[in-house]
Amino acid sequence: MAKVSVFCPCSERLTSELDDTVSLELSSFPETITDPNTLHIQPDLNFCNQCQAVRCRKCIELEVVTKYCARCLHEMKPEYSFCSRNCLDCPICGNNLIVLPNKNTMTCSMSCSTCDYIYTSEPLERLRPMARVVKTEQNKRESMRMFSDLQKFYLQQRQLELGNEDIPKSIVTEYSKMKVKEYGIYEFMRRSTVRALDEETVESFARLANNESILSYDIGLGDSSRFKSEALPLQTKLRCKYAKRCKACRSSLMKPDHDPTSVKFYKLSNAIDTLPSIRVYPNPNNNTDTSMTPGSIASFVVVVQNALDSDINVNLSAYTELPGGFHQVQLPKSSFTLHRKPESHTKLEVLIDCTPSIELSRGTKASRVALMNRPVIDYSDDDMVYEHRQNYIVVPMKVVIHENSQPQTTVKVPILVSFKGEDVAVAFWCVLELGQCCAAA
Amino acid sequence: MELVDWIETESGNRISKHALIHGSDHILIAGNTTISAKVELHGDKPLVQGSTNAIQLGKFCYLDEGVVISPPLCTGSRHKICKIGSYTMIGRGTIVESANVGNRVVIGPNCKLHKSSTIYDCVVIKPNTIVPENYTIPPFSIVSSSKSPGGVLRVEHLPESYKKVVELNSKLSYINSQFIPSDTP
Repeated sequence: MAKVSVFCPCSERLTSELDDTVSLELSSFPETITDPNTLHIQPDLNFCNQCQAVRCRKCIELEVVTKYCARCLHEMKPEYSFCSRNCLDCPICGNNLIVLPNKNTMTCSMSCSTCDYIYTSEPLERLRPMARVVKTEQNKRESMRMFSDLQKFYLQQRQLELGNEDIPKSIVTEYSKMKVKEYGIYEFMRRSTVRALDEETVESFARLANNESILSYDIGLGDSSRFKSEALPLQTKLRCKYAKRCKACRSSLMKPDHDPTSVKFYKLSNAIDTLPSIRVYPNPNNNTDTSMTPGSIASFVVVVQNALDSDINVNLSAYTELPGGFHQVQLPKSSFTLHRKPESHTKLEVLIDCTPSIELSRGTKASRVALMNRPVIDYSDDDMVYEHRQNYIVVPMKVVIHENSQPQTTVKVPILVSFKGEDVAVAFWCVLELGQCCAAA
Repeated sequence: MELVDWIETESGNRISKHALIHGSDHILIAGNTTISAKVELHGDKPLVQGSTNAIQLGKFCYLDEGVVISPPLCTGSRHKICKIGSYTMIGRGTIVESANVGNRVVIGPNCKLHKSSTIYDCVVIKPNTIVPENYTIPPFSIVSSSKSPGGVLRVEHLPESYKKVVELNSKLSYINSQFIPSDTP
């Protein structure tokens, strides 16, 4: 089956930005239709009923409904970024760690299920969430301690500058003592954990400049046992459940239930529930592997299916003047009416009845019976409607392959689909990827 | 595919005569489920106390050729139930040892779901993905893994439309008796 993408015009230039010479009629092609970032498969899109337009991920606004941990599926407070329970990730491969408490030593060992990473915590006085245990151990590390000392130093300095009265008395006394002393600041530096550069540090910086340290760091990574024993487990990042809004009119497009395990929606406006579904198959009478050669005409079958509860008039348009990279298309039957979707369309019998013959195999009794009850379709006639039943139609499509097309390039065809129903009138561009062009015989 | 190769039950289950079903007394199948040839269902494992079923399959499940389902090991040599929800499709050659696979899940061909992993509803697992032990995949996720052995799993958000798409594809798989994968972003 060919890939059908729907074009979202959100990346198009605004009308005021367009030159006066550019026509705004539908005969003009969208400028960004050749950009693959503007093409989306139909299930990826939402539909705004108020704007009567498709909405891709770029033209919707996300709102966080709930934050939860993807491992334990517990709802977390909005200010949290990591799981505060026992969910931890392996620092080597990123997979989840299995936490096993040891009652004898009062420690917890965390092992990875895919690699051989093992981490054992320090003895615990009481039961605590492992995320907190790891955080405490992380804070004890030299790098973190130096960082927190530096943070504290600058915070105190800032408070002094602002004349903040909340400074602890002990610090004020210490500072006042230093004030009267000669070389007070050097005394503070001597007492503080933030030290002036000593000879060893200067040497290490020199080594770093010569890339020696980087080389030794690489060697350190290679020594896996050392790395495994030193690396701390990573805290699991939280995942969000979002609601969607249309950026243009701010109307709600999707609102999920706040429970992380729930798949219910209070509001849902998907493109697949409004836009007619378009599927393209190679003509069963022709072999597309040999027919898609430069200069030839390839034959396809297009299925258009109504997703709405009301009848719609559909019009498929193909244009003669196409931008580079696209091939010309001929649609002998381009205007038709599609009936509404049956009421109980999820029932198996109704679903079989609403499935085009080209999509039914003879693999099961149900599909064989359905095919036997339908008239035999002759796909050799390229100018007639192959099938028109229930809420779908099957029509022919011919594609003229460019004479100068390179072999192994994807054959793409743009089609403008417009449809009008009871309370909906929409037009959208589809790009059909029909397969690869073959080398001429 | 010959008609004589299949057994069709009253509830619409279609089971290949070439499927290897062990311990059928401990396997529960809801209805309209397809079990293809060379599928192995290990329902004969010793179960934990209180469990009567080893494998439970929902309606409109589709198990492609060569799928192996065995209940996960729990304590000692005892196994716990492996529940697979409705509208779930499992691709060719996939091995499932999960404790729970939700509704509307598509598992691609040649995947391996290690023991006690939990897959929630509306999940698409791409072909050749290995889900580690005790791993949990939240609802509306698309899962893929890097090609290197023991590669990192990538769990991304799946659009909400797939709830409907997967359900429809599972029904079409049942009608046509062939695995119909969903187009994914």
